[in-house]
Amino acid sequence: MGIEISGLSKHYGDFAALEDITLSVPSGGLTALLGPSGSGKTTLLRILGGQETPDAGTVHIDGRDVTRVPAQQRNIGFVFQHYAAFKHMSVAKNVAFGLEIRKLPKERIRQRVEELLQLVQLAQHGHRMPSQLSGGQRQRMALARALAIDPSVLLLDEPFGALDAKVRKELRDWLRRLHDDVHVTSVFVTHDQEEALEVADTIVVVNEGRIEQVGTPDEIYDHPATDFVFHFIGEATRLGEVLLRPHDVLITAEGEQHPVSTARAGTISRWNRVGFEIRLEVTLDEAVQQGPVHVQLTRTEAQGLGIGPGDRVQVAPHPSAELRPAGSH
Amino acid sequence: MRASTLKPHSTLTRPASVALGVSVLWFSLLVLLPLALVVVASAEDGWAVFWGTLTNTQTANAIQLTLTAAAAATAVNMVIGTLIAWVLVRDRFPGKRLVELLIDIPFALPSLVAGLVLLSLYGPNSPLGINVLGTPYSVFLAVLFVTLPFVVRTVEPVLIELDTDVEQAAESLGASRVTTFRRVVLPALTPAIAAGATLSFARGVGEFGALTLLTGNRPNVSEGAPIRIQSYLETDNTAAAAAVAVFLLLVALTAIGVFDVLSRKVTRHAD
Repeated sequence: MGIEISGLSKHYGDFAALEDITLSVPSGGLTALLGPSGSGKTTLLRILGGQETPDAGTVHIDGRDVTRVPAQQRNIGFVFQHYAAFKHMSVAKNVAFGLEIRKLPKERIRQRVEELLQLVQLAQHGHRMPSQLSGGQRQRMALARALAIDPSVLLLDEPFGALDAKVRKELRDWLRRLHDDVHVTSVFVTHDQEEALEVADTIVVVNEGRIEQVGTPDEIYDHPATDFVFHFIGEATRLGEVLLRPHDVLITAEGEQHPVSTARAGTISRWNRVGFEIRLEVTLDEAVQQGPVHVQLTRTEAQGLGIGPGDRVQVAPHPSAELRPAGSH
Repeated sequence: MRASTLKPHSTLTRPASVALGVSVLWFSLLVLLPLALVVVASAEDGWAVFWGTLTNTQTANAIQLTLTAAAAATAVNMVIGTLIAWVLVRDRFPGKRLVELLIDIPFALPSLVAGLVLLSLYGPNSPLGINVLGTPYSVFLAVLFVTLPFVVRTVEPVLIELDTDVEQAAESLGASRVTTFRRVVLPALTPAIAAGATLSFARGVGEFGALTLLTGNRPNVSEGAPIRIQSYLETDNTAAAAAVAVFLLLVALTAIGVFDVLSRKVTRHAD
């Protein structure tokens, strides 16, 4: 059960938004469609929601072929990036909308709306207008509205994209906890790898209309299947013949014993502190690569190593680091 | 945070005061003072003359015809204007830019010319066999023509700004297209439709040029109120002319008020 996507293609003129996508989304999970803008992830979500029709391929939801079923009849909850609030209706009316369409008895609707507002922590705000809510509250309202119809699938299009960093983080945690309670099969689109890694059970990395990799956050991060995934899912730097994560570079001051015997010597050419983190660049003595090596350390680590801007150092990949040949880049 | 919770107080800086002064002076010289003078003129010969003018059969018929025609044309415009705006904003078709330009023709054309144009299609030599000359429908047709762009032009920008997300949200919740339009789109458009309707009605009541040619001005049948004002003026009966003018003014103001209240009611709390 869940969502079965098979051979899905979608073209806009000459542009191939999706090419032969086959994917199986298990029931009850929280799946992230992760990719850069223009990768086709939103098109895929909108095909699931019935807002777009594919050129080829099929979509089955809980065993039913919905490829040509209009959005109205799919019973899918959809949450939009910019909330898509019904501005002239109160928060409670917004949430009740889908239930009123289904002509449920008034008393049932009232009860259900109350439950949902409780669930999204807006119980005190039912009589308010969407314009009187903050962005985070509006998105929670939109979520309650989508959940009201007991959807078979919940689709979220960059649900936190319009929110500021702090609210985004809160809402992310909250969505994770909500999903643990509600268990509705959910698919959300994001271009933010941190968001996907933090919230999702399964990540589908999409690029140029194709699926690059499907896996758990750990699999995707630790064992990227392609160069694209490696570069997209985290930062990467070059050290001699290999690519690796900047935090996987072992650095010591010159004159100290480096744990890796093949360490290369160089000079710290740039030192940039961002909060608790230090990002530095090491220009190697040997001309084995064009740019410098990027290294990430915590402030505490840097203090322990006794290094600072302009110092002479030695660098080498951490023995357990995930390395990729640098040839193709 | 919200402005409405703050006490109203003056925000005028020196340049703003000057700007306000200029605005008020300009408005007074062009609109308020002339209007006041018309009101004074209507009362010059006393209440009896004012009332007598309005209850004169021919005048009363003319006023009734003008108001009915303006109201009917406005009702049609609210529907057709919204439809045209919808087509222009949401659909893509060849010649769209041209239609976009043509919509404003009733604005651009001197309304006397509008009358001439309409007469050629709906007059005695109509190729369609429809002759409205000398019938009450001529007033309706003339008003319909000159007021066509109002609702289109007020609804268009609102429709452009209206996110299709909101409609898609309604549809994903199971609403049919009709329900989505009625419950989600229409409330958002109501203020714009009301604004367009107000303008359309006011313009319709005041339309003169197109009427002079198209209607034939048959007393009690196809004579509009503005034409009546003109004939009063031609016979030097200024007080009667002013009385009709003041009455039309009052009706137009009432219409503006009613539409304003209506649209406020719908959009009480919306953004």
